Amino acid sequence: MVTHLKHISLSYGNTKILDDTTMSISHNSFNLLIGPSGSGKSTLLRIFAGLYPQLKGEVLVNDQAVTTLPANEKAKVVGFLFQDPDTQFVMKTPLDELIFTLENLQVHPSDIKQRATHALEFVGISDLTHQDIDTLSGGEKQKVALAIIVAMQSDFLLLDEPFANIDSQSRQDLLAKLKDLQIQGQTTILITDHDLHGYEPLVDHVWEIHHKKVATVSNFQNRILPEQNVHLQLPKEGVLQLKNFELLVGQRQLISISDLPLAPGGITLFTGANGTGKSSLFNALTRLKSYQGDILYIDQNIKKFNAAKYAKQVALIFQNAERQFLRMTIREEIALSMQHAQQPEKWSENVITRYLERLNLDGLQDHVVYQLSGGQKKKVQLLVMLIVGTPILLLDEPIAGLDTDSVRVVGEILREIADNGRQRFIIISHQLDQLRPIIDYHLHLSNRTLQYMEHFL
Amino acid sequence: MSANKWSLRDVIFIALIGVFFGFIFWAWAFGYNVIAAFLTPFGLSAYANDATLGPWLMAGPMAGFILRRPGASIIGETLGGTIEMVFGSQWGVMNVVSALIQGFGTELGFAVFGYRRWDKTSLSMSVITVTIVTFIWDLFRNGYADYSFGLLIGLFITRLISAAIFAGVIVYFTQKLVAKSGILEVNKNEVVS
Amino acid sequence: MNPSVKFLLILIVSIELTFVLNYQVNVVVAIIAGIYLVFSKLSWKRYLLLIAMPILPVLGAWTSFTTFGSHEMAIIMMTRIVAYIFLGAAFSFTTDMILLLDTLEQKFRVPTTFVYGLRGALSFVPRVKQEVQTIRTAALMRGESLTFYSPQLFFKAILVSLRWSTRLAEAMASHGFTENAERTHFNTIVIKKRDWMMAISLLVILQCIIIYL
Ligand SMILES: Nc1ncnc2c1ncn2[C@@H]1O[C@H](COP(=O)(O)OP(=O)(O)OP(=O)(O)O)[C@@H](O)[C@H]1O
Ligand SMILES: Nc1ncnc2c1ncn2[C@@H]1O[C@H](COP(=O)(O)OP(=O)(O)OP(=O)(O)O)[C@@H](O)[C@H]1O
Ligand SMILES: [Mg+2]
Ligand SMILES: [Mg+2]
Repeated sequence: MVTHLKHISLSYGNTKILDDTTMSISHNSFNLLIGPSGSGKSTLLRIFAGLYPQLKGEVLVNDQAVTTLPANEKAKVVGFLFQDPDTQFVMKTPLDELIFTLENLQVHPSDIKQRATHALEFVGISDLTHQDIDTLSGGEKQKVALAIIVAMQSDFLLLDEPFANIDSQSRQDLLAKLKDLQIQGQTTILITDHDLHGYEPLVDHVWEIHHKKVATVSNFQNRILPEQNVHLQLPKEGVLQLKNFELLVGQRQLISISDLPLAPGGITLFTGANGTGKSSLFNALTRLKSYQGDILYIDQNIKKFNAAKYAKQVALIFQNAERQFLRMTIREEIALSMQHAQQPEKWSENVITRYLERLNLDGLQDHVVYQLSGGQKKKVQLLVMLIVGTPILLLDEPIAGLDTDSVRVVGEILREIADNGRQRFIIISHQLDQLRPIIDYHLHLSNRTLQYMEHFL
Repeated sequence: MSANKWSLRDVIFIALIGVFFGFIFWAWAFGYNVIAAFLTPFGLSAYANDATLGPWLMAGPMAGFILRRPGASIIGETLGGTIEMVFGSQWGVMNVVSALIQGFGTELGFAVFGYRRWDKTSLSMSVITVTIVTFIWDLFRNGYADYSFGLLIGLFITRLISAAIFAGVIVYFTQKLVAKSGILEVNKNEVVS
Repeated sequence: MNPSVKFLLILIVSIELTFVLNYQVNVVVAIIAGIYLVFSKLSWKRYLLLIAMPILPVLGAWTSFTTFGSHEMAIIMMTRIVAYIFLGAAFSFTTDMILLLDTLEQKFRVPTTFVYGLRGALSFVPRVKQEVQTIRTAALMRGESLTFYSPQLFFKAILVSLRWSTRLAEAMASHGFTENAERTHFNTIVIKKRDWMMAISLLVILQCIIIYL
């Protein structure tokens, strides 16, 4: 059976992304697609998913021309697992979502229950069957999404950075499940990822987008970063402090801690499994979420500050970059940040140009921010918040979805600013390896408590 | 977005605008009550009703003026009212009815131009039609028919101003931002071989 | 009672009240709705809300109409407001919207694109409040404060709506949802004859009351 793209070219407006590309995927194989941010990986997956029917050339999946199939037929051929776990479901519970899916495929009502149960069992989440999807963690949501694909029995699985926001344990679980699915379920898999760990024993082919064409990668092993152990200090002070602090969602306690300093000088890496409450803690620190107990900023209760004043002290880089934007183009965004920059003298025209070059954003100044690629948006977001220059900056997964080069540059920039003592950073991330070289402290959240670590687990 | 068929994305989009405005309406009801409470001792709570109407009229023109297609205003406003009811409001099912009538009022303004003009003129027209239609409805709904002619004129002008600010000026500037960002055109339309 | 029947019943009664100028009818309707609410076993918070909600509007109607209108009209408006609020609560406090949408799909043949589009949007309702707050905080952190009448705030709300709708529509399509195509139904909805009979009898009784009072 044939799965391929033949002579596909694609441009967004005047920008060419793919130029007469041909790619052939062997039946029942496990494929990884890599390439720098903005090279067109998501685009390529969307072509395979038949989302661009207007393109010339040929798109076949298991001998079928997917672009012309109606959605309910297409779902049996291609299954798509999206990066953002939050916007994939319509229904209240995993079971309801599975029923919805199977009804769409016009499965006979008497078979629905059995197929749904089997899919949940296969992915190992039977205990989540009736849980409210809203209360699931990111990793759990991705597992539900995978169960749906299992139930649909799609032949070809497309996964666009499905692990970008997933902790390493869930990531390993999911990868193992995918391998099972490929072998037992006769499924072909194409996945994109920036983090290459764990793929080596699984993949049959590695692909890369290079010069607007797709090519196979031969020296894959060399690209995986070697693991190393790092020893770290424990902080003695911190400008933020939690006192008898307790964080709840609904009835569930996420965090409970009697006394802890936060934001020591330099860079703190903040880790913890999916759904433990890292983003929720950031929301509490920025007063977006209510909590019990006290948060002190330089010995003053943060509730005593007025909102605008506090926002000048502690700012947040959102997981979703678009939330940060208030203007239209990169140039306007930078100008706005300059207006409120706390140390404008540090941000001369030259300095900014230099940063744009390093982040690979030069030439894009007049691009509308909403039309950038995922990685480009994240870098712009970071830059505008660095320019504002609040004494404390909280970063919620700032490198999720960035390519290795960008991560390195971002790391260097954060390091430089921290070394100048201008800002203190706390970074949530699941990509530990890539941040290891630049961090000073490591804060870990597990069993509802926060603890500084002397080395990585 | 295609000219006449409603795609799933359009429906969700417009319903979500409804959700946001439903929430903003719902929060606004507190504002309304404060203003009404302030005016009540003076027997002026009738003015409160008209002065605060503007925000409730926004979902319709927002949907209509941004999507620029027949039916968007009436559907957007009705979904907004429906969702406000789901949030729990003091007007209950009547929210849906009022919203339907408000959406109809806005829709009329764009229909007058055969849905071919989407500029200040047609938006202004929709402000006028929505004011008239909702005012007629209130003659029955809120017993306005019982008021003196002089008071009715005062109320009508108050309502027109409120509608002009919220369903007119603010909608106009919001649409400008949306158009500039290009967020409505991205993806499929721009993709070429 | 099936939600769609209840909705129709309450809708018809509400619209009728708009045109009936008789306070006794309002009182009767309010009492019936009130009794229904008492038997629906709601939380005490809801009952408290039901008592608190009419206070301001009723006072407002009283002062407006005694100042500018007639005494009779004041009484009609005050009782009407209470009737509306109780009727509304009799629907929105006791009804499962999902069941209503299921009924609309299966029994009233409303296009599935609308039914599931609305359902998708409903699934975001719990997140909307947080989202509005987040938009405002994000702006504060850049030194701008957005008030509830700034186009910026609405633009961001529209942006979020658009992003969510695009993603959700794609996700639904990838879960096999085809616009207005046939689907099977795991749970078949039946509207009992009893529901219709009940609704029709209630309506007939109301007409009698209107005529005789
Ligand atoms: N709708 C669009 N309109 C215009 N340009 C677009 C659009 N979508 C993507 N692009 C551009 O096309 C290029 C490829 O985007 P794509 O999202 O496929 O990249 P990617 O390889 O998935 O990147 P990342 O690793 O950051 O997710 C980027 O430069 C991006 O700016
Ligand atoms: N409104 C809510 N009701 C119930 N549970 C909720 C609610 N909001 C969040 N949660 C739950 O609270 C937990 C903490 O969420 P949070 O987003 O803080 O986790 P996180 O540590 O940032 O995870 P991730 O690594 O996936 O981003 C999750 O399990 C989430 O499902
Ligand atoms: Mg991508
Ligand atoms: Mg998080």
